[in-house]
Amino acid sequence: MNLPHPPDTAAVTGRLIDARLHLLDRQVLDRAALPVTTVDDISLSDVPAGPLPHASPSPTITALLSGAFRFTRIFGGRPPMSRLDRISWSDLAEIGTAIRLRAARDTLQVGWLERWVARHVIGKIPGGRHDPE
Amino acid sequence: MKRLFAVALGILTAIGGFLDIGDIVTNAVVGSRFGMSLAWVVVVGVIGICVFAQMSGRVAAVSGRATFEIIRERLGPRAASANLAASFLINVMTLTAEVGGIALALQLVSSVSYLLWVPFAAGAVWLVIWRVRFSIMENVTGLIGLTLVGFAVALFLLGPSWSELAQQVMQQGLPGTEKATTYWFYAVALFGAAMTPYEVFFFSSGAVEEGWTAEDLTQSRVNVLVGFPLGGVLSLAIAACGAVVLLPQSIQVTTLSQVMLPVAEAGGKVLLAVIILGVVAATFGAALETTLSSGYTLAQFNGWSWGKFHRPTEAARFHLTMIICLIVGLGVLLTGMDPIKITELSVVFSAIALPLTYLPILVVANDPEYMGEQVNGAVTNAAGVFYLIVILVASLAAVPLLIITKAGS
Amino acid sequence: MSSVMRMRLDERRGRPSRSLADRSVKAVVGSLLVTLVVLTAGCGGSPDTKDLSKALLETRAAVRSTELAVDLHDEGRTTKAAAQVTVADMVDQIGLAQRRLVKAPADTPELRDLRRQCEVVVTDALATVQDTKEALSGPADGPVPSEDLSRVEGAVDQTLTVVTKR
Repeated sequence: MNLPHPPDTAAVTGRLIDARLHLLDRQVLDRAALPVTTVDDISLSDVPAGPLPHASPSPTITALLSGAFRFTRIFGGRPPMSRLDRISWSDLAEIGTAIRLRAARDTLQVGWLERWVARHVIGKIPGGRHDPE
Repeated sequence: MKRLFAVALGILTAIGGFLDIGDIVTNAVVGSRFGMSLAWVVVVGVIGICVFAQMSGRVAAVSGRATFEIIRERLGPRAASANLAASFLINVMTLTAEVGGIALALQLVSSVSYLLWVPFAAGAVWLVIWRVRFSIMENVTGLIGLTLVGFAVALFLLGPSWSELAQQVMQQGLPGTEKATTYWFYAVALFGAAMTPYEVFFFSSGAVEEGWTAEDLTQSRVNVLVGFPLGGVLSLAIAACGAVVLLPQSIQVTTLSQVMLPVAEAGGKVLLAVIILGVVAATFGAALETTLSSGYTLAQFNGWSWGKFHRPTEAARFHLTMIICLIVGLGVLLTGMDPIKITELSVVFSAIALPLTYLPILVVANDPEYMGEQVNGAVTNAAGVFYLIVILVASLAAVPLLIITKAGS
Repeated sequence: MSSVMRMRLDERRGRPSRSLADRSVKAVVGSLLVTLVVLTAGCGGSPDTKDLSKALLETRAAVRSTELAVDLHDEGRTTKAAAQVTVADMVDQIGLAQRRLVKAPADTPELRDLRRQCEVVVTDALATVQDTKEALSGPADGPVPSEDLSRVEGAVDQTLTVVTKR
């Protein structure tokens, strides 16, 4: 299997990450180490069609994407942008075996389903809001 | 002194928590049909679960990642989704069997039909998960489940010919009308009953939930290496009771009430009451573990927050999953399907699904990115690889055997 | 930023360390699917007298379990509830044996005759075990008669010898 050649390390500063290995499918945790979601895709800034002209600036990652990806990743294609949740790249604090964010979970768009189930289903059952005994 | 108490508690809980309805039923059936000639499978299975429970606990403690997070991260989306679907379904099957087991045991006490006990059992399981603290849950069910040692007591009281039992263990021939294919089918079933996949999910998730330190890991090692083999001895005692009382009469165990006959014969009403209590506790504990495992597998795979240490609104989808699984199990049982049949199927399907769980753990246990310096040593790897081969053989043989023997009939 | 183009991470070029895991997972899931298909499709019947002898063996085991439960109850070694549940379970088991008999293939008149003999014996066993169940559910706590059970067990044994000799 042909992997792309890694960039010349002398020209690179900072840490080298393989997006497929270190970003894809990784757990995203918020500021308090609470699970937020998993990474399903990334969003890049302007990437022109065809080979990159020499000495042009490299594309940068603008956001991590998460959403209804299960079937598209198995069978092909991709969901439209409106159905995806974005985590802005600037919100990232740390990349390790999991990805840490700077923000708290409740402030993120990406946690909406969890908040919905919590408010409308689990919260309605007696004892749902109590700490476990 | 307090330290000693904690260690003892851990071991006792491991023994009491080792048996579930799958172990009880499969061992009783095997004892009544094959005597002790399948005892070796229990030994192989117990060693196997010791190796993998230990490994999964260590992986979780060192890497801080639980099993299904690892499966999601290391397998491609197709394989990981297939893995999730299969493991989740089999988990729900086992959950159903355990809740059915609680109901059957309660029926024995009251002679009220088990169908009326099923909703009560499912509700009780949910309520305990909803409100009771993790450690209390584990310790209470584990300690009461310890009364299953009554099976060993029953065996002694029956005064069997030990040399004859030993001979059965070693024998190569098959009793009476049983065929070789049925023998191997039950070998696979017994193996699946001993090496239950949900144990691994539960163990590794517990390790992450409780934030295991090196000391906790050592404690867990002691619990597993002492507790599980002693639990295995109890499995053998159940089989032996069947071998001594039921096999000579050609009574094949098909109901939980038949499992109790040797116990009543050995120790009368008192021992019977003790054992039924033990069965209720053991199956209840296993029902708790399988329900939590269903929640763990789905939540970890999807990256949701999970765990009993959160209040329910902070792990909403995790709790919703468990509620739905219990409702599904309840529904299946209320259709009147024989819980013993469900149990027998669940152990065979567990055997089929074993590689799905163990292979990723073995791979990650060797990955320095997750484990740092604590990757597997050569001995652990040798044991792990050996067992992986055994598991793959059992898994691939299970389907043809299931078809040929028509599920052991 | 005028346009945002996304480069989709290509799943097909998977990581090398995934391939063995991928393959074995697919093998296991594949065999699971095969089982489900075959189990639902069902398999063919068994030859000759196998179903007949199986039904008789199941009946005999149920009768013996009932005898054991009754003996234990009379000796005071088991509770009334446990004995009741055991006997009720055995009624169900003989019911299953009956159903197996009805479904048993019987192409020759000889086989049909044999099957009729089995049905008589099994029905008798069912009635006897049901009587035992009635006796146990009565208010009295005294011993339950078991002579009929021994008689029925003998009858099943005899029929079994005839069937297996054929």
